Amino acid sequence: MRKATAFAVGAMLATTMSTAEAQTKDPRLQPKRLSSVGDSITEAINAEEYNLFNPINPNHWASYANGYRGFWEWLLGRTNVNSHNQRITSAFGSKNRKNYMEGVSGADSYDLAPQMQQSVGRQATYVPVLMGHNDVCQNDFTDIPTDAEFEANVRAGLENLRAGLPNGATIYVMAIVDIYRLYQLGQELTSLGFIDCNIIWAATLLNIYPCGTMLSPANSEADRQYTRSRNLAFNQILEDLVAEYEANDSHHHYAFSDATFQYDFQPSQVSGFDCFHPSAAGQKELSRVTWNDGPFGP
Amino acid sequence: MRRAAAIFLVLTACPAPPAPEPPIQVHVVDDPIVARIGDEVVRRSDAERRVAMEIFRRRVDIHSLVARETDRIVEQRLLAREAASQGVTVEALLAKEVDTKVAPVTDEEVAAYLAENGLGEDRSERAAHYLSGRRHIERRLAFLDDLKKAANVTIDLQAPEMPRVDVDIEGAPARGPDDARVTIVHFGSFTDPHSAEIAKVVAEHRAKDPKAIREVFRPALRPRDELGLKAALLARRAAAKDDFWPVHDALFSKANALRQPDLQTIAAEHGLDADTIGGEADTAEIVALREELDIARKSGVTAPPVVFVNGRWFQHSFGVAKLEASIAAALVKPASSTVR
Repeated sequence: MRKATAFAVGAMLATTMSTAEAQTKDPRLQPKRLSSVGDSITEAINAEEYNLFNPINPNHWASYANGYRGFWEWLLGRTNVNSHNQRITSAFGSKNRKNYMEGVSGADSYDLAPQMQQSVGRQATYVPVLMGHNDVCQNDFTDIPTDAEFEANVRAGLENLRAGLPNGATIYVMAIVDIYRLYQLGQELTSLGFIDCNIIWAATLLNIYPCGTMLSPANSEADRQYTRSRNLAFNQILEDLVAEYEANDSHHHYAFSDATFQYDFQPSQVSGFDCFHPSAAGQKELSRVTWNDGPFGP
Repeated sequence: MRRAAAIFLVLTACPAPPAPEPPIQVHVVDDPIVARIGDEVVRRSDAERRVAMEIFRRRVDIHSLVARETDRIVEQRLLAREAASQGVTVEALLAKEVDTKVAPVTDEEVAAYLAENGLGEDRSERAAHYLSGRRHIERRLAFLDDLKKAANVTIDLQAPEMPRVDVDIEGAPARGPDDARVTIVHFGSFTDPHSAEIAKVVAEHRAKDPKAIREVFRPALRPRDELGLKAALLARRAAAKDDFWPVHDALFSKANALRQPDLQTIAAEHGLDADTIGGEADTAEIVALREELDIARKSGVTAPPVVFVNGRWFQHSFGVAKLEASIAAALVKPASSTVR
């Protein structure tokens, strides 16, 4: 949605570049070597399946980026998320396809540089990035990085990609999801009798479950809205940096989308197990809106 | 009013109705025919009751959207009214009522926060940012709250009520009288300790009043649970030999620590072949099991256990005490129709 804006801002930032230079990009490579960067949302934690003994249970098949469909998904009638991975195969064919996930649950902006270095090691031609939720989701409000720290972390990661990805590769950075909205949905699920989210979130008090800065029962409404204000600030930093790199790196293609933040999640699109992560239906919507708003969309 | 309007629409949309039958017209509007098989009709309610929970989830989604937008409209109109009454823009109003009324955070306050939370000096900048930001938001919320009180704001939007579901139990193993006051449908997995806990609670209630409760079991599986899958297939084989409940009870007696050898032992005790389960030959059984799992999905069950007490949904996170209360309430006031 804000892709066009990002490019426009980028063009303004690139004051040292001539118009001709700005338009001379290496030809875009097909996104057949996918290497996703992110956190628990990329891992589709608790999207449609949970594990009694592991409250942070990856559902990679349901990832908006790397999702797939196999025997168990067929048997259990799981949601087909139509991930970026599936869309790439559909649009560009299965030959020479690679589907790597560098994203790890719990990762934050400090993990961008190492994860993106892994993408370089894969020689990825397409790097979707959905990171920052754990920067705003912390145990304490003073664990949330400053703007300067967050920007430095993102810049370090993008530098790795700029220096190491094949020429023509695409880096697609998505805004941090509106985690305040996800919190609101958990409250609705509880009040309607689907699941008692407050019991689950109480674990944040002991730091067993993440995101105390949003989910802790000890928070005031002002606390939660403060956390949301950091969500917004970090998204602005992501957008500005993508614009800067798009303007200054002629070998790679950069795009930003805030469709992830703007998407108005509904109760059926939040995990029925932890009341917070996007469900498979939510991941499906994430895939749809980000693909359509992204560099390979319609 | 709505019904009358609907009838009017039906009548006006069809310039030449085949036969004017007012009473039937009313029925068609309430529960229209959606398919015909010769003389047999399929009504909308026939389809809807199969997916009642899925429909409810969508109603909840719509309610959530409307509720959020309602809140936004209320806030926007309150601010616009107040700004107009003061002869300023909304931005100027917020600057005056919020920005200028927030005192800056002092070093002492930051130090106190750090001390209270056992944090070091290196967190000073972040703590100051948090305290300042929170104070600003608190002032804005308080201002909005004052406006709401002054304007006597009430939110009349009602959340949809969870429906009583006609759970599809056709062909499912059941024990207890068909005309029992309470029907409990348990979507469970034999390897799941919460399912075992549910089975125990239901057994205790059945023991107290065997004529009052009918227990029905439907499989639901945890993902990648090979043993749970095999146990579900074994139970299907037992059901085919009319020996489901003894196997059900035996499997749940081990639920917290069910192992492959237990499966072999239980199978042998009930004259069942556990060796071929999970092999090439059981493809048809897996397809049949998938149809049962599809019923779980349509009933809104994404993971075990979920229980329907006279069609009322119960999810285990609310605790066994609430399930027991739900059963007790159903025993006092049974539902008229809960299953088909």
